[in-house]
Amino acid sequence: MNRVRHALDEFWFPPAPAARLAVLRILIGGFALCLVGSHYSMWVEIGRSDPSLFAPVGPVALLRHPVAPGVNQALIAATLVANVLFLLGWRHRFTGPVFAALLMWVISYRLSWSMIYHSMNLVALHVLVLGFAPAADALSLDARRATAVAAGRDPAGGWQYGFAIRLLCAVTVFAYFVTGLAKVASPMGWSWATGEVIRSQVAADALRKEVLGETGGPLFRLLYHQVWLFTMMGILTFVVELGAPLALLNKRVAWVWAAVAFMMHWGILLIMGITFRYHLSGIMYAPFFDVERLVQRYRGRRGRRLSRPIPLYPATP
Amino acid sequence: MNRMLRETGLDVVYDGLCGFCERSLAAVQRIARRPLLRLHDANDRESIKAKFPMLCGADTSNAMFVVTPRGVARHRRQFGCSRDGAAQCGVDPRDAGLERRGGSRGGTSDRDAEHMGWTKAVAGALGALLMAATLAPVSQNWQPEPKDNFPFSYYPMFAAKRSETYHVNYIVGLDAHGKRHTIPHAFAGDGGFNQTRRQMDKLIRTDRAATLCQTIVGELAQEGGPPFRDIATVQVVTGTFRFADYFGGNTAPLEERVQASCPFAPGQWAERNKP
Repeated sequence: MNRVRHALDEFWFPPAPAARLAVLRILIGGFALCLVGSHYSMWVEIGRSDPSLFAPVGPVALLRHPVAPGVNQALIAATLVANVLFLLGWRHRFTGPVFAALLMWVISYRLSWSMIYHSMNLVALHVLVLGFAPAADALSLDARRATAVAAGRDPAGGWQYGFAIRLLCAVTVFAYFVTGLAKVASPMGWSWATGEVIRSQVAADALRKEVLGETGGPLFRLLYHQVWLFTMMGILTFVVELGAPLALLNKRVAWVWAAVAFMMHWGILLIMGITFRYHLSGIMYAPFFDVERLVQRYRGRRGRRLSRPIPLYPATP
Repeated sequence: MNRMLRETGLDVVYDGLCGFCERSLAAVQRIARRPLLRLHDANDRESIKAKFPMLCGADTSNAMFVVTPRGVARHRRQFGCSRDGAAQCGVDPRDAGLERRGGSRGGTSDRDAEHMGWTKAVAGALGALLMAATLAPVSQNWQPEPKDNFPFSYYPMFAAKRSETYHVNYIVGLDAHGKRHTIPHAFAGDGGFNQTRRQMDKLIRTDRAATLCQTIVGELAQEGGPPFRDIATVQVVTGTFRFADYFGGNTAPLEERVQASCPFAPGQWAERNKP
């Protein structure tokens, strides 16, 4: 029993540097800021849509009717403010959960008008984890405020950072796994991988884009008759989606999985013209990597530039 | 202090979770008026092990260590700070937040270990709840009428089988000579391509194609741009296409059904929309 508990403890609560979680906070918070900021006008306009089209999802399902457009706009603006504070790591114990809740609400509200864009699910879930995790113990105003000496330096590794990162990874791979299961559970079952289904799906997407004045995937028209290509895509999709949980077991497997999934989404963009921004940015896969090294490298370079090197002499105890 | 030490500085390895230690070192830095000390958090064990292998087995939570070219100096036990809690160190509890949240340190007391165990249990339970919520929508695949949701979805996209033909709703503009023009979805609603498409489907399904048509005409009139200047009629139509034909080069629909048709007079609309 103790061995099981110990194994679980080691698996779910591995020590990790605070800086790693902090870099994830900055990356994912930065993406969220771009997402909300760049869609501000559109999301405000969506709040003015015909109320008969309102189909609430997520926490917005608490509402029977849409809120007043002004309230929606105020909430989006508040989300942007909270997002900046989240990025800066200011009073994270308060602003973290507030931002997570606000982002969850505004995205849910944006998706409560007859269409759920699944590409936003993981952003909201990642921010939810980061909002409630000690993600501002390093590289933040909180860390700077804590002590003058600690300014700009990272506290040591701890399980609470490792656990939050593990949770980010788990939520990511489970989302992929659920996506794969939906395909296996469909009437096509495992034969989904033959590529016929994905080809017809992509064809439907390309066709409706063209008749509705959008641009479809640039390569699709050329590739439509290459069924073998879609078979390969189908198999690769199954491998990436159903094999996703394996990425939790080993770091190298995780890196390979993240790289393949990342490339798969770029392939989807080229062939289908579907933009999964969070996936395409690569930020979604950042929890699988030692991202704090980015900061270490930056500091190393900056340090070398700003000051002369001070050698560490060997010493004996 | 000899000249060499003054020039090279001192490497101080200390417990970064001890607020008192940090304040003391900050005071020394201020007095020195120059970067005399290079501070290293002892809890960053990997880094310490790499930089100062001689401190590998040292109990850094009980003492500070100063590494100099001559050797390593060790301060007396429990430099100002007790392991039992921040209050005894005279440290602002807010500054000790890391420790309260279960920062890893060597030689934690039983109380600390118990507290950490509880914290881990609560965090683990919440994490398990989140993972269960992520996986739970799988059950929708076997429901007679599956329902998607956010942020916990069963991700049905691309799973359904499609037939050889495809029905799609779209908007067509006809000029005075009957020539067809594609009218982009943006005139039918805000919220992006797929959302507008779904909203159009919903309006047509609920016999409100005429309302949709009027909305498009209104938006077109406000736009008033050159591509749409010659349009005389706006139609909301449902077309049926065969994939093989369409991607083989024949983009004409097999069948087209007009759901609603509205006359469009841009001049009149522009007049109406004048401030």
